Amino acid sequence: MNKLWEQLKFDGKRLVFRNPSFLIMSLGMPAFFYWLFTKLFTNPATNNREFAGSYLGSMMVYSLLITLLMGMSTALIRDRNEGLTVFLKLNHHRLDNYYASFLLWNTLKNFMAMGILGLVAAYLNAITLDLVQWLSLLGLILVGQIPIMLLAGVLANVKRQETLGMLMNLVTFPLAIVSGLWWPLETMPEWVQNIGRHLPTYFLNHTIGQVINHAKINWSSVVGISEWILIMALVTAGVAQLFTKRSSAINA
Amino acid sequence: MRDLLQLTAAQYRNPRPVADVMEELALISFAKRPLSRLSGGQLRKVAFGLTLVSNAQLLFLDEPTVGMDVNARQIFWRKIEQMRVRGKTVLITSHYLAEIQEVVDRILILKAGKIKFNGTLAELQRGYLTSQISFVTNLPKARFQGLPNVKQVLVKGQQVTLETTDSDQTLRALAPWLNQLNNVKITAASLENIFTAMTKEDDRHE
Repeated sequence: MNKLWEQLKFDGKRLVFRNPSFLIMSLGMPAFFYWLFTKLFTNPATNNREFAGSYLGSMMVYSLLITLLMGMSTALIRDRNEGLTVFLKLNHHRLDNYYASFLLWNTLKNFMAMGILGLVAAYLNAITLDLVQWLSLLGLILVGQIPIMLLAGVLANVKRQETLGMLMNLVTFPLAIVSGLWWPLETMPEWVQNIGRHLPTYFLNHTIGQVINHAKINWSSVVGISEWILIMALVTAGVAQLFTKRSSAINA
Repeated sequence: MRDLLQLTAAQYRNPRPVADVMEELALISFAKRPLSRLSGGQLRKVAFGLTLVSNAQLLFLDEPTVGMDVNARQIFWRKIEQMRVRGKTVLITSHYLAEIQEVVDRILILKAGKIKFNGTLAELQRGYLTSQISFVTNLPKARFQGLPNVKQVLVKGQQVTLETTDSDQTLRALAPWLNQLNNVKITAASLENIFTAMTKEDDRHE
């Protein structure tokens, strides 16, 4: 228990509290976008209250994408390249505490972003959520982050940080745009909408928006998230097997 | 930096207190500094601190003093000596032979992936070279070649160094010319001298 506690203390400082990129990219930027698109560039033709609610959901999902695909995968690859994982393996023989701490802190980062963006929305647009809504959002973030977390883990298998940087940009921003996190999906060409409506971030964003706006939950989105969890679990298992085979071939 | 020491200490059943290790190695002044902002020598000290907090019975240290300043090196070797006295086994790989010979019980010399020597410094000195006699003289080099037990005569200007396997006998043989020799010095062969002699010998054979 002491090992896990020390690992949590160690990771909490370096991944969250002393990590300016989390504060800027995962908290600051989505909050800024939220202010920009709900206060500065407003469309009189749209229902501002409803838009401010659904855009809050979009920014929560966007923050989650940045935290996991950019922050978590970068930290994983950095720890591997700088020898921290080998060091922990040599000292403790296993990396269970390391991964447990990583998952916990990244989940907490997503919860923190959710809370802070919720406060920003309350301050800017008087959007208030009741306890049931907050708890529903917690549950949705907890489950909805799983496929993205698995994707971040798969991306972190590349050798070089530069390659990861390129992949992160190729995946994160198209995923955010095509899922309708930046602009409403309806403003995009139909073929883009068709792709977007099958992405895990779309399902999550859509369901969060429904919770915030007190709309009826479309359970097909929840099924969509579950399908993506299954798909990404299979992809992760496949990649892990591939790397295990490759390393045993090298060691043979 | 302190966080890494604490994390490492938590991995062991019987670690040493982190605060004690930090004080012993003078790490306190940069305890809160990120590792990325430490110098090479400071990082070496931290790496040694990580081994100390583990309180392990067997330690492997690879080139542990590279980049350390003089004070840090002195602290390091003092700690190694203390650990040796306490019965801990420390395996050090190093190219700084002068430092090594002061503390080690046993020396292993590796050449081309094979152990070339395994024993104490005294055994090594007996096997390869015991001492060097150096002096300043105008006498020609030829005068010293063929003296008893002299393996090699090195001349640099008027400075002559005789590498001998028995300094007493060689010195007796030098007696007739002693009044023509100045600044006579007799030094036991250092690990570095022996290592150089060994590698030169091997290179000649190859």
